Amino acid sequence: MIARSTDDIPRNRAILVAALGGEGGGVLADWIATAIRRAGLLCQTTSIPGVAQRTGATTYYLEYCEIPIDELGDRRVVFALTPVPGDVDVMVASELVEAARAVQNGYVTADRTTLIASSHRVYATSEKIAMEDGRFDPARALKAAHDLSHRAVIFDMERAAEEAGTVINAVLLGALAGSRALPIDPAHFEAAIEAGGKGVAASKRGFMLGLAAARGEAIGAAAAPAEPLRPGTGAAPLAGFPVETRFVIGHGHARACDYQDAAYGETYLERVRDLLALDRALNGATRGWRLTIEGARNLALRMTYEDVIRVADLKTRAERFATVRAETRAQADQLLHVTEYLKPGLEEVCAVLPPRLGDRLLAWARRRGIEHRLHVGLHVRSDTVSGFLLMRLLARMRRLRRGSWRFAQESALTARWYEAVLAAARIDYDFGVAVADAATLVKGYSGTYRRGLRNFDLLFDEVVKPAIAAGRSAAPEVAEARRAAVADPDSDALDAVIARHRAERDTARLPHAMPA
Amino acid sequence: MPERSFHEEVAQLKLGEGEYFEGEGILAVTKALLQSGVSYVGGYQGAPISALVDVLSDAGDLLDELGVHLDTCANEAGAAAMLSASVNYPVRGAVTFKSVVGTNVASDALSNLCSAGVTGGALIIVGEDYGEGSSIIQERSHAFAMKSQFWLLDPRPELGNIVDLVELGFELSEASNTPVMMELRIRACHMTGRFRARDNVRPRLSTRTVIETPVFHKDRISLPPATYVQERHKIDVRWPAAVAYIAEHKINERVGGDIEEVGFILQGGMYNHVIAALRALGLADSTGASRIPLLVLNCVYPLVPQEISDFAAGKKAVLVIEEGQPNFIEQQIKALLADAEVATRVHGKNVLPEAGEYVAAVLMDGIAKFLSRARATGVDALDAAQKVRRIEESRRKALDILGAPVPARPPGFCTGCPERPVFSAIKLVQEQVGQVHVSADIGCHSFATLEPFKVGNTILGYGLGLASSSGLSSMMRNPVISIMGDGGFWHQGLTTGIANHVFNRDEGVLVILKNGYASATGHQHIPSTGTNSRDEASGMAIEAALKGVGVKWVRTVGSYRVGAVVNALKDAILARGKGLRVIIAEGECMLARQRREKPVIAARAKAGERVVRTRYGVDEATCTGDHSCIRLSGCPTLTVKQSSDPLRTAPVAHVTNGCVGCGNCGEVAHAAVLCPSFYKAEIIQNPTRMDRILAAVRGAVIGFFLSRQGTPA
Repeated sequence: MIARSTDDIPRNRAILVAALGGEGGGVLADWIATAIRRAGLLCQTTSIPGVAQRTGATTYYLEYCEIPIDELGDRRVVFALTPVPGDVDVMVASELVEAARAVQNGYVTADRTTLIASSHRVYATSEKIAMEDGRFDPARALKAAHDLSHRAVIFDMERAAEEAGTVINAVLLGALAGSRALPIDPAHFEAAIEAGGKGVAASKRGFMLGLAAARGEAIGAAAAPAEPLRPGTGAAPLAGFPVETRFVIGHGHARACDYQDAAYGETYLERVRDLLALDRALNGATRGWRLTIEGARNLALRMTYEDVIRVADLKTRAERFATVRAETRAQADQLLHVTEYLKPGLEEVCAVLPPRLGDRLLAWARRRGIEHRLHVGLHVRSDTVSGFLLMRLLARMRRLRRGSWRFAQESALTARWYEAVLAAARIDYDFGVAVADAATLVKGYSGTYRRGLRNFDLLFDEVVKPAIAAGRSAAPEVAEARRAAVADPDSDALDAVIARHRAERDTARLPHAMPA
Repeated sequence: MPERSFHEEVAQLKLGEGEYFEGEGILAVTKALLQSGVSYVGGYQGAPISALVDVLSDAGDLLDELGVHLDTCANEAGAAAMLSASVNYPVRGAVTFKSVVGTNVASDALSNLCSAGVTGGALIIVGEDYGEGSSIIQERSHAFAMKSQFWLLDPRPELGNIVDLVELGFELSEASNTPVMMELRIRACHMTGRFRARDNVRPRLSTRTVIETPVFHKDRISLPPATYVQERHKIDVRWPAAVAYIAEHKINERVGGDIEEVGFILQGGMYNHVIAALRALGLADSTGASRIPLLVLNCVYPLVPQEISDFAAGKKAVLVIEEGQPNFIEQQIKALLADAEVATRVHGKNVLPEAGEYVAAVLMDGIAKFLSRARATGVDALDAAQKVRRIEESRRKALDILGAPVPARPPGFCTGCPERPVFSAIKLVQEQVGQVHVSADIGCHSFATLEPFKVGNTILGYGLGLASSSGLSSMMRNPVISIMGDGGFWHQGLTTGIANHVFNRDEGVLVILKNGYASATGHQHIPSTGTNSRDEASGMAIEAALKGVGVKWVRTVGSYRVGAVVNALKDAILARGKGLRVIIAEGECMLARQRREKPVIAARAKAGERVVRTRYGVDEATCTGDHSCIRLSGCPTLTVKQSSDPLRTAPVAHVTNGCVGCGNCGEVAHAAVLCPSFYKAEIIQNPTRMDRILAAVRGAVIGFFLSRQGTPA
C-alpha cells in the first residue's frame, strides 16, 4: 500500500500556529489551509485542542507540498503530524510569550523560520498572581524572537484587531499574507476569510491592517503622547533638588497636596529635604541619589495611605467618570450606571474617629472577637444623586483626617520607618535604601493591609532594629526578607526567614556555643 | 446546543462513490462506518473522539434513511455494552470513547463481550489521549487488548488508510468472531486530509429491516460452563483466524529501503512522525521513500510472527518504535525472534525514552542513537547526531537570551465560568472553618486544582469525587468536601457516590456544579440539560434524583453569589451528624450561554430595543497592586497592567474588554473584603425616554458638584 517514489520531491513546507484557547487559532489554521488549497496545493492540518481550548496555550500544525496537485500525479505525500525543531518555515504566534515559547522549543531557527507574532502580552496566571511584579521580561522575549528567527514581523496585533473590531486571528492572517513568507497570493487568503462565512467584514478589516503592517506601512492612530515628565515642577519648589530626584519628588508632593492640603505637601517636602541632606553627606550623587528617590517615593505612598476618605474622593472625580466611560467603551449616546463595591469595616470607621474613641471601639470589638468581622456591604451607585453625594460626603471628611485614630497610627508607623531609613543609611548606604524599599510591604485594604503590616513589623523588629542597634549593615538580610514577604500570601517564606534569624541570634548569644 | 455545529460535515457523510471527502480524521472514521454498513453506533463524549457522535447526532435524516440506530450513552460501560447486539446477530456495530479512562470504565462489558465473541463485526474506536494535549493519566489501551484478547488496530495516519482499516476491521472482527479496537491518537483525530469516498451501505438488518426472531446460543453466554469453552475458542479458533486474516489481507505494510542491514518496526500511528524524523535526518523524502526499511504495524495486536521474522531476518539490528509503556510489542518481538531463532539485535526503549509522546524531535534523537549503536555501514550516524546537536544549540541560545523558561500556560476556567466563584468560595470558607480536604472530580472543574485556586487534593476518576472521599470521611476533623460536575453525576456519581454514601450513612459535603452540559468536551447534552441530543425533552432533574436516593440535606444556590455559596458551605460543613449534605451550585456554562444570548442581544440592540451590557472594572487610582483579587479568581479578563502612577512599581489589576459581566470579581472582592477598587458598569444601549430624563437630572446635579472640584484643595 505504501508505494516508493523515485522522483525527487522538495521537502514539505511547515507552518506552526501558537495561540491561546478562545483566540480563534483553529479558525486561523483553517484559513491558512484554505488559502493554500485554493492555490492548488496539497495541505494537511492537525491540532491538539482538547482541554487546551479552555484558555491554555495550544498549537496547530500545517504542512503543504509545493508541487501543485495537478503535477503530483499519483505520487503521494506524507505529512508530519508534529513540527520538527529546526524544520519550521513559518511560525505564527498570537502573543509575545507564545512566540518566545516557540523559540525556546526550537521551532524558530535563524536559518529558516519567518516569525509572525503579536507583541502584546496576555499574562499567564503565574505572572498575574505574584504579589508584586511577576511579569516576564518582554525585552528578553522580543530579543529572542528577533535574534533567533530568520525574519520577524512583530507588532501589536491586539491593538490592530481592536481597531478593526475583530479578533486577533484576522490580523495574524493579514501579517502572514503581507510577509510573503508563503508563495500564496494575498487574494487567496482573503477568499479563505470569505469562505469561512462568519464576521467576514470585520475579519477583512483586521486582515488588511495586518497586511499593511507586514508590508511596512504605518497603521492606526499615532501612539498616545508620552506622559509629561515633570508634572508639578512649577507648583512645587523643587529648585533645590537634584534633577534625577525631581520626577519622584514632584509626583510625591503633588500627591500629598491632593491627598490632604498644601501644608501636608510642605510637610512631605521638609522630610524629603532631611533625607536629601543625609544623601548629600553620603555622597549620593555618585550613587544615583537612590536613597532620596526610594525614600521619597515610599514616603509619598506612606503619607497618602488608602482610607475610605481617599477612596470616596478618587471615585467621585470628573476624570474618574471619564476613565470609566473610556474603559467600558460606552458610546456617547449610551448611558452609564456605575455601582461601587464597598464594604467598610471597623478600620474604615476608625479612619475618621478621634484616637481615643477609636481605641475604645477597637478594644470593645477585640473583646468580642469581632474586630475583623464587622463589615457593612454597600453597593453604591455613584452615578445617582444620592450615591454620589454620599461618596462626596465621605470625601469631605478629609478635614477630620488629621485628628483621626488612623492618622495617628499611620504617622507613628511612618515616623518609625523614616527614622530607621536615616539611621540605616548612616551605617551603610545600601542598608538605608533597603529599609526605604521595605515600606512597600504596607499597602492595600483590610486583610491585605493587615498582612502587609504584620510582615513589615516582623521585618522591622527582627531584622532592621537589631542591626541598627548593633551598628551593622543588614542590607542583604532586609532585601532577602522583603523578597520572602512577597513570595506567598500566607507569609510562609517570610516566617521561615525570620525563624532562621532568631535561631542565629540565639546561638550567637550563647557564651560558649559549641560548633554543631 | 453543542459547541460545534456539524451541518457542513453531515453533507460529507452523504458523499457517494468517487467523490472526495475532505475533513478531519475522526469524521473520516464516521463516514467509513456508514460505508461499512454499520447497523448501530454508540458512544460517550470525550476528547478527541467527541465529534464522531456529535456529527451523527446532527445527521438524523441520513441515519433514518439508512436505518442506523444511534445512542448517546450514559457512560463508556453503556457504550461497550451496546456491542452485545453483535454477539448473536450478524449486525455491525461501532462504539467510541476516550481512552484509557473510557476503556477502564468499559472494561467490564468489554471482557464479557470478548469472552462471548461476536457474530457481526464489532468495532471500538478509541481516542488514545496520550502525550501533548492530553487531559488524563498516561497509560496505554494496548494492555486491554492483551488481557481480553481483542484485536488492536493502530492505523498509519492517512485518511484513506484509516477508512480502509475501518472496513477491514469489521471483516477481521467477523472472520475471527472477536471485537476489534481502533486506537487513534489526538493529532490523527484532528488531522485534516482527503480520501476517495464510496457509497454508504444500507445495513441488512436495521431499524428499517428488523430482526424477526431472537437467537439463543448457549455458548455465547458469559457464564460457566460456557466461559471455559469460550476461553479455548479464543486460543484455538479466533486467534489463528485473526493472524491468518491479517497476513492474508496485508494489513501491515512494508516499505523497502536501500540500507538493508537495519530496519524499523513501528506502530502504524507512529509512521508520520518516523518519516518526519527521517526526513529531517536526510534519510527519507516527502513521499515517504525511506532509506531504512520499515515494517508498519497497522495491527499491533496480535502480531503475525512470520511477518516479524521475515522482516528481521538477515538484518544486523531492528528498532522497535513503540510509544508509551510498558513496551509490550518490543518484548513480544524479542520473544518471537528468539523462538524463530533469528539473531537480529532488537533495540527499542534502550535508545528511545521509556515514557512520553514520540514526536519527531524525540524520534530524531532516538534514531541517531540507534544508528550509532547498530553500526550500519550505509549511513553516516555522525551526521544525524550533528543535526540533533544543532537544534539543541539553538534552544540553549534561546534560553540564554530569555534568562529563564517562559511561564507555563495550563488551561483554566473560561471568562465568566460559573464554576470559578464556587472555588473562590471554597477558598474563602476555609478562612472561617479551617482547612478542608477537597476530593475533586473530572471535568472543567478539575482546573481548580491548578493555580490560582489549588483546591482539590485528589482526582480518582470521572464521577468519583464523592466515592473517593468515603475512606477519609470519618477520619477528618472537618468533613471532606467532594466535587462533582453534572456530567460526572449522571456518568456514575449518582450510584457509586451518592446512593452509596446515603446507604452507608456516611458524613460528608458534596458540591454539584450544575452548568447544564458536558462542557469540557463540547457541550453535549446530559439528562439534566432538559433535552437529549435530538432536542427531545428529558424530564430528568438532579434534585429529583437526589430525593429519590434519600438525600435529606439539599441546598441550591446560584453559583455567582459568592457570599451565599460561602454561607451554604459553612452550614453544610457545620451540620455534623446530618449525613450527606449536598449543595447544588447552579450556573449555566458561560460559553454556551454567550453563544445563545449574544446573537439575540445584538439583534435586539439593532432593532432599537433597550439593552443593558454589564461589565466590571478596577479603579486604577485605588488599586495598590497586591493582586489578591486575581489569586481568588483567575479570570482571563482580570489581569494586570503597568500602573500609570509613577510612584507605584507593582502592576495594577485591570479588567480587559473580554469581560462578560458575570460579576465574580466584584462578588469576591466583597465577600473576601478585599478592596473597594471594583466597580460594575452597566452600559445602556438605546435608553428609553425615562432613562434619558433621569440621566439628565443626575448629570446636572453631579456636574454642578464636579465643576466645584476644579480648584485643588
